[in-house]
Order: sequence, then C-alpha cells, then structure tokens
Amino acid sequence: MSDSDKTAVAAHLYVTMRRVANRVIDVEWMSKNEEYARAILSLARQQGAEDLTHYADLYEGLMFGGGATAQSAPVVAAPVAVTPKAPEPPATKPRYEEPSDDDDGGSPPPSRYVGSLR
Amino acid sequence: MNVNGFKKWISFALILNGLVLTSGYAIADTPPPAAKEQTAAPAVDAAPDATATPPAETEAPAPAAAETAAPTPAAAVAEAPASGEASTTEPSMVGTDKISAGDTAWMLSSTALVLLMTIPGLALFYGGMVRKRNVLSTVLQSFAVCCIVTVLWVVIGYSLAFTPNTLYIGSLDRLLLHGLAYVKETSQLTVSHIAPTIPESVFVMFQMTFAIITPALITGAFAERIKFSAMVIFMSFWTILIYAPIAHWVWEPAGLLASQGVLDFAGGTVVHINAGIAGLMCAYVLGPRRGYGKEPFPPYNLVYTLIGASLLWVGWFGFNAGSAVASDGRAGMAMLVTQVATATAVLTWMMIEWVRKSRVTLLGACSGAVAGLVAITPASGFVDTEGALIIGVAAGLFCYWGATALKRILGADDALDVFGIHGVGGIVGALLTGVLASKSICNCEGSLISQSIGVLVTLVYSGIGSLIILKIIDWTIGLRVNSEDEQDGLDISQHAERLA
Repeated sequence: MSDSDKTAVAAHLYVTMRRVANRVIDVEWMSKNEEYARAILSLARQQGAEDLTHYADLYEGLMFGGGATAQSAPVVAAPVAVTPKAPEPPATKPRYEEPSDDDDGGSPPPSRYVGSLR
Repeated sequence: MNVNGFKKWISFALILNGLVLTSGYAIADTPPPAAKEQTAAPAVDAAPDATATPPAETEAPAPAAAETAAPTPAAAVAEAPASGEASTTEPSMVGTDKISAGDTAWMLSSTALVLLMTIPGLALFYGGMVRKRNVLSTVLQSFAVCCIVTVLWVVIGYSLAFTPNTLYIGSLDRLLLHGLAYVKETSQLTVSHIAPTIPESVFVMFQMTFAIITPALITGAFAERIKFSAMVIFMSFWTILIYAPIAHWVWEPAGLLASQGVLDFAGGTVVHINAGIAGLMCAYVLGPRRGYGKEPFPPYNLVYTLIGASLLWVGWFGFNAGSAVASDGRAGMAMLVTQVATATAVLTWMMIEWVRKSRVTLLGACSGAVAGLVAITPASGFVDTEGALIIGVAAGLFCYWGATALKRILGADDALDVFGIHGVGGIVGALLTGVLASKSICNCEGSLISQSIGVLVTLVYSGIGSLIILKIIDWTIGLRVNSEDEQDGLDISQHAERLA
C-alpha cells in the first residue's frame, strides 16, 4: 500500500483521537516508526470507540499486513462523512470537521486562538 | 413585557435628554446655533445656502450663510415655504442648476465605495476569521443585513434620521420616500438640507450604506451561534429603534447631540461606538460559544480577512471623504488623514505584537488597519496630518488593548472583537476629535466634554436599547441555536450548505 493510503487513514485517526480522547498523534511518524504506530493503535483500541477501532484495524492492515487490510478505500469508508441531522451526540460526531493542520506548514502553538483571536 | 420594555425605553430616552440638555448647554463654549457648523460635517462645506451659492463655489466658506442655516425651532421649520429654492432646514425642491455635477459624481462614487465595504468587504473580513463550519453563515449575515436595511431605510429609516422634527427623532415626512422627487420636465428635484448640492436620491443612498454597515458590524460579535431568524429580527428593530435615532441626534443639525456641539464627521459615534456597544450586549446576552476559552477556534482563512480588510480600507475613502458631501478640499483632507491614521495604526499594532510576542501577525496587521480607520472616522474632517498620526498611534495601542486585555476583563465572547476594535476605536477617535480638531480645517472648536457626552449618551442608549431588543427576542423566538446545531456549525444547521 502506498504512503498516501496510510496517511489518509492516519489523518482520520488523528482527527478522531483528538475528538474522542483529546490526544494528538504524529501522523508522519506513524508511517515511519512501527513501534510508535503499534502504541498508537493500541491506544486507539483502548478508547472503546467504534470509529477508532475501525481505523486502527485499517491502519494495521496497511502498515503490517494481515487480515485487517483495507478492502475499501479509506476515504470512502470514513464514518465521519456528512450526514445531516445525524442522531449521534454532537460532542463526538460533528457533521463538519475542521481541516486537520498536520499536512500544511505546521500547527500554531496550542494556546493560539483559545479565548481570543488576537 | 413588550409594553413594559417600550415604556422603559421611552422613559429612558426622556430622562437622558433632560440630563444632556441641562449639562450640555451649561458647558458648551459656543451657543447652540453654531453647532451646525461643528457637527453636521455634510453641511459645512456643502454651501449651506444653496440658493445663494453656485455649485462651483461650494468649497468656499460662507460664514454668513452658515449663520442663517442654524437649527431652527421645529415650528418655524414646519412653516418654511417650499418655494422652489433650497431651504436650509428641511428637504426641498430646487432647480437642477443648483446641483453640482462634481459633488454628485463624487457622492455616487462614495456610495458605491461604502457599499463595497459591507459586501463583500466586511463579509470577507469576518468570514475569514470564523471556523470553517460557520463561514457561509457569517458572510450571509452581512449580505442579508444589506437587503433588510435597504428596505427599512427607504420605508422609514431615512425619514426618522434625516428630516427635522424633534431633538430625538425625525418626522415621517419621507415615509416610503414620499416627497423625494426628480421631475425631468421642469428640471427640478429635491435636495436634503444637509446636502444641498446633490440630489436627495444620492444622499438617501449614501446614508443608506452607512445604515447597512453599522448593523453588519454587529454580526461579528454573535458569530457562530445566533439563529438566522433571530438575527433578521434583531437587525430590523435595531436599525429603526437604535440606529435611526442616533443618526438623527448626531447628523441632523437640530438633533440632540448635534445641537450640543458633538463632532462626528463620518460616524465614529453613530456607526462604530453604536455597533461596538450593541455587539458587546449581543455577546453578553447570547453567552459564549461552546468550548470558548477551552479549545482553539482557528480562523478559516486569513487571506479572506486580508482581502476584506483591504476592501474596507479602500471603501473607507468613500466613507470618510464622502462625508464631506462635496468634492472639495475638505474631502481631500479627510482622505489624506484616513490613509495616514490607518497606516500608523497598522505599524503601531505590529510593533506591539513584535515587542510582546516577538512576531508580527497578518491578523494583527488587518486589525490595526481597521482600528485606525475606525478611530479617524469621527475626526477625518476636523484634524490635520499631525492629528492623524496621533490618532493612528492611539488607535493601535488602545484597540490592541481592547481586543486582548479588555476582552478578558469584560468576559464576553465578542467573537470577532467588535467592541474591542469598533467600540474602543470609536471612543478613542471621538474623544481625540475634541482635542485635535483644527480650526483652520473645520472652522470649529473641539470640546472634550461635548465629545464625552456624545460617547456616553451613545453607549448608554445603544447599550440599553440593544439589550431590551435582545431580551424580547430571546423570550419569544430565542436567540441562540441549540448545542447540537452549534457543534455542527451554522452553515449546515441554519442554511443546509457547507464549504467543500
């Protein structure tokens, strides 16, 4: 599998982990360091969230091979796709995700834009 | 509750007037009739006696004419003959030969520039600062306000604001613009007594664009959480009950604050302090956004904000220089000081950021520009270049404080810092106008006390009036979207649209 496939799934993991567990993971490092990837996948499964388990399975299949390899395109399989008036609790299932900032020039400091724009 | 709120509002306005009248006349250095020269910027250079002054000579001061143009008791105004010559106290019919082509061309251009400030200027400025899930709703609010206020302005707003009647409010003579005319066959048309060298239709449009941008500014305070329906109702009532009276007080020569000698060339009080305090009330009544102060609210695209700020900057030349209501030397000075104060405020804001945070931000530069533009607005027809530099520095300093430290002190989630920049900048500009007004430019004297009264009256009236309107809407249809809709974003929940 290509790195872009792994990155796509890892990006979903990033967003979901941040939302569900308030944990920020390193998407790039996951594809480079197996030990780190295994730790993150384990952490994701410990949360008990269906989304995270699904993504962890997908990523494990892409990274290490095995029965959990992705049979479908990760993006298509994304359960966070827009479903207007979805009944899920809003805290965990917003219909609109903010763009992740792990694929651009870097993230602003954690305290930036908290409580004030300027 | 409606009746009680209305009664309170009326009582408050009456009490306020009593206070201002008693204190204002006691402290004013000049007798009230001279106030027109000082206050209603549009009337000063625009040859108050249009019947005696050909359009080409509108730039020349005409002190004697200004004397005759002093506020007249309402009864006398009502009896003024509409004899086909321009009256100085009320809109009237004149021949087209009294119209200045130069002034009219400039005012048409200024009107388009000021409208450009709201759509798309302010829409983009605000749209770039909210989160991606709320961009469409934010820009739509500015667009919708433009349409709402346009209709309200021609139906009743213009008449309440810009016709003589009482100290507090204009008459209904121009309801649905009744009486506004252009008769090609007889080469006659109506002019406003405030702008006698341009067609009244142009003046109505020019002032309409001010009435549009003022409530549109407020949308930044309640961004990302208000119901669209509540926003529409609030803006409608606010335009009629808050904006129109304050415009009348300040810009109608016989208005409450104009007659006290309050100086406001282009709207520091009417537009910015007014919108700023109303925005702060909105922020208090609606409450903070979900997650405010705990999680980051990253702006969607600050390039939009830069484009919006740039459009605001350019459009502001129509706002300030257009407020001369003439293509003359005073308009030129207003344009010059607008540019100088704005650039100075940007540099000041950037310097503060550099010192405090070791870096300069794009949002900071844009904020500094708007701060400078706001602060120079009331002063633009009164100060010289040195005054503009001082106002620019003060705007950068105080608005930075307003958008950071003061914001924390106030504790309201004023999402896009409407009070911190427009409220604080407007207050700084209004007060400094009293200090820095140049006699050679405006043939007037500034008074810090008069300016303070203007600021205070506007803060109190707009603040309490806005609060009452908000509470009534909250008790009836509700102001705020529910938590789920807020989490999903207003684009989806209110408008069923989203950015790709």
